[in-house]
Amino acid sequence: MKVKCRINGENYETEVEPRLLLVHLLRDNFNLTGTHIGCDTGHCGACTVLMDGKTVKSCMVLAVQANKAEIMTIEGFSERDGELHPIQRAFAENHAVQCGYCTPGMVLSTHFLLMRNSNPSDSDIRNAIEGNLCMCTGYVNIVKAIKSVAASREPDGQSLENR
Amino acid sequence: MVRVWRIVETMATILKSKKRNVGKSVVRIEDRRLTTGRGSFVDDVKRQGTTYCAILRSPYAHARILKVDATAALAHPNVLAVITGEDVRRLSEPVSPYLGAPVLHYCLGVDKVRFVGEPVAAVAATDRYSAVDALELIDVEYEPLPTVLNPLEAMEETSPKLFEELGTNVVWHKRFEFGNVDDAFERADIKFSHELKLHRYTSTPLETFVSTSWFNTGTRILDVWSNTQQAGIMFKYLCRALRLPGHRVRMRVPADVGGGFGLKCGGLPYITITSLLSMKTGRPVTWVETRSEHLTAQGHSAAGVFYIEAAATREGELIGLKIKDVEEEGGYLTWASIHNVGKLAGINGNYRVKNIVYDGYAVATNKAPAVPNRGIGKKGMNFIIERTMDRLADELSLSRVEIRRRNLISKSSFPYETPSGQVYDNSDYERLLDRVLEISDFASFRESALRKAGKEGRYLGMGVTLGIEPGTVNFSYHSTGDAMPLRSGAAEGARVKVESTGKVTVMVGSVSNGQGHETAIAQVVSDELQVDMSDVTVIGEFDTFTSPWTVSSGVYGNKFSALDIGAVIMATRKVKEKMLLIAASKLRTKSENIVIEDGNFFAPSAPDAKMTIGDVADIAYNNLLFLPHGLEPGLEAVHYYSFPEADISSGKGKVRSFLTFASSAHAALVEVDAETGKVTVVKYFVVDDSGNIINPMIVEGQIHGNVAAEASAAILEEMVYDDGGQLLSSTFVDYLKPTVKEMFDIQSEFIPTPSPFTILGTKSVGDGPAIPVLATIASAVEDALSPFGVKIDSMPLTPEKIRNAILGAKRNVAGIPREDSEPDVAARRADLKQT
Ligand code: FES
Ligand code: FES
Repeated sequence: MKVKCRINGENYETEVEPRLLLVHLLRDNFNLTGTHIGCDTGHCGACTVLMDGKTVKSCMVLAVQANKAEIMTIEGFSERDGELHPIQRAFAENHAVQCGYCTPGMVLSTHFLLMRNSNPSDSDIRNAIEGNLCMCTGYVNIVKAIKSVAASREPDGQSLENR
Repeated sequence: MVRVWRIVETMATILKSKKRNVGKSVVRIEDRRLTTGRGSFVDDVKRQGTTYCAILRSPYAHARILKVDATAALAHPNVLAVITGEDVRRLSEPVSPYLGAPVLHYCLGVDKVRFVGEPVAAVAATDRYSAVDALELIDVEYEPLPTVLNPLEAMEETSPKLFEELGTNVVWHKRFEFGNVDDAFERADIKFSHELKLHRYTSTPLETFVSTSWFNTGTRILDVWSNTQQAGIMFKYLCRALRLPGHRVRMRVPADVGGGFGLKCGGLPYITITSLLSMKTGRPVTWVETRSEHLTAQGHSAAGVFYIEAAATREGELIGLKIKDVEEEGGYLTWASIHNVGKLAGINGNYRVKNIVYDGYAVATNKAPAVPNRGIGKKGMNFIIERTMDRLADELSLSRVEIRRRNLISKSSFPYETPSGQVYDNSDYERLLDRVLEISDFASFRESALRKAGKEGRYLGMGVTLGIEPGTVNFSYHSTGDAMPLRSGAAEGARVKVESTGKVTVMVGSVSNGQGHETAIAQVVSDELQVDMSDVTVIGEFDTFTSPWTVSSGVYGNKFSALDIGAVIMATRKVKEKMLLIAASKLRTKSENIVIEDGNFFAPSAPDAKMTIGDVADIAYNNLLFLPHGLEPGLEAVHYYSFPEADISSGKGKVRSFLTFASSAHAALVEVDAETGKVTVVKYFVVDDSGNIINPMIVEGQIHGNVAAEASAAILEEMVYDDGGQLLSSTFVDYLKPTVKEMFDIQSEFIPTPSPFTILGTKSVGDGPAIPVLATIASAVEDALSPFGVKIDSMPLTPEKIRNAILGAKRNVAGIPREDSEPDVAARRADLKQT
């Protein structure tokens, strides 16, 4: 079957088996390996990407379901000039990254949260990344990093969703 | 006079301007690639013509393999090769337990399987999905055998034998005595005994095990990429298993590995499987472990039963210990006995007790193998001594803090030699204890908690413990009790090169599993050479063809800050010496007169005549006739740094197993809901002495991760088997990992005392902060439930266990005998959902 979609602003098109998972399409067919796999039951969130503006676990989506979709993976998330996005910077500065395997998913879930809620409470933050497991950090610095981005957002609320 | 002043002034500026990155919370070099999805994990790189492997596994816990028929699988259009037990017997040597157990394992089950999930056949196909499809086409005929799951039953004469050739399931047994135990028990004022139990759980690195092998039929070289933690030790065994000479085998580990925690120490069978398939097909073969394969078969933290007898004076001094340690090894014996001897090494913990009998058993059972998991045997080691301290306090009606104070090794007695031959480097345990009591507000908290106990069904409690955190393994300890070691000592290699441009590249024999080693190395090198960190590239990957490496190479055993950093510093200093010689000859002075500041070489007596590091490098590579007479061109040095004080086992259980001994004091505040039995960790405190610290931010991160993981192991996580040996917790649906919602506040502080045994005074941090967590939470829960008189002897503290303990305690009061109930996953999940 044919899949045609836009990923990180570029057009992609290929033939796939109907059972191919989106995460394998991204990683194996399109070589976008920043999206990771950490489980086989949809529990870990390492495979999180944005599909039509919403986070999805790409191991729970068939590649063909992404036909005509607009997808953003971690590779498309940095600023245009190659600078780190404020969320990425906050993750580095707060040492919210150890092995980094959960990080792409965490960053995108954080982005999805901050798109909708510029001033999240502690429990908003915890709800937003509940579906992303991290085995290294105990989440302490991840929560800290997310709080720091939220706190440092410009007062005019320069919106992150247009990026 | 003026000239002298100039010199003094210049020296002063030098001292002031000396660059120091070590000791600072420098933001990690690794994070740019990791936050942008540009990391490079094993499965991120595709080789031309890659094929995919899937593994067929045993559905039985114990069975004879009668027949494996792969004809139909081989007929699948996308399948390139299949290997079975018969093939591996023919094509390979056993991937035997490299740690001494006297049995032969192959990479696939041959004749027999001994746990659910043991590999029996493997397929290589052109895509991932076809490989899995083909597994269903392999026909295996089994003859199920009786199973034995409980190590105590397994020890019985009449129990089914996993390894018939041994005639027993006790695969290792040794008894050691230190001091005079009989005398201690004779003169003791009080004696007591208790029985403790640790469960199976696992740290589940988020990236599972991955192995890619490519036997290039043109070069006849086998190239292997994997995320193993122990490439050094595995290399030799892989060559042997594949009957290939070392120069035809290239093992690599990429710079990015998605966590290890010990679980990636044991992937040798899988690397052998992908290699055999590649040798058959001539194509690259990749195997990516699924999560359920990881949970079912990669292995679990060693479970054990410990019988402890203790003898003490009425003042509370522990003077004698008798420990019987029954360690459950599972059905694959790679690590058999290592958990035992690891435990033995630090069995006295932070305390003075000298008279100890250690009677250790390693027992095979029909379960997944016991593997390293944030330390080898160290959780048991700590659980035994810390729970015994609590018990002793209770026996004497002393406070649990006071009993520790009375037994701690005092500050003035370091370096301190322990019964098992360890030399504790340096610390101030009492200060760590005092500080953790202070930051946790221990005293006033307990008073008010007791007052409020039972209000709205809530019971609060606190536990406080100490722990040692051994760092850098001397391989001799693997053969503790045998006079002749298989291996001994420990070393790591580093190569430092100042390139012709004056910039620096560094390679070590290990990779990082998320601990930020590239950053720490760059911090150290930039200080040594007085250059910017941005002028240093640390090549993060490992490659047996190009890395400086030894059999100890890898990331395990808390060795980085002693061995890896030691090798890096010594190699850097060799290069620096050479640069000083070159600069001195150009500046017409002696090398001891030259200083380096901000990347410039000059003599303080003539500060205007400067050479940059680039000028020196230019001579070393491009302007060779300006080199001092007889000096070899180039600026590159390799150094192998070894465990300087390693010794060989005496054969009596005494060997200096570890080089450094970091330590910490822990306190936990927990709340128990007496109605549901649910335990919640409210807050956790750690005061840590890891010696001098290279990057405090990274070390603090290690504390967070370790505490979180072990707290979760204490209350949420457990590998549950049914009576037939089927694992019931084989996905993240049934095996509960903590999400951000289960996480609590962790407060940590450092009180470093530098180790005299390492170059920078570092000790180690890695598994360290994980070690005392189980005992701390057990102690806190027992404290919370003190109104019921509940004793905590076994882990984990699941809701139904707590509820049953409370009910049992109430029944006991009423004279009704207590019933023990086995853990049940469904009930546990229901309990958690409710809350
Ligand atoms: S891989 Fe998609 S949720 Fe785990
Ligand atoms: S940083 Fe390793 S899993 Fe999150």
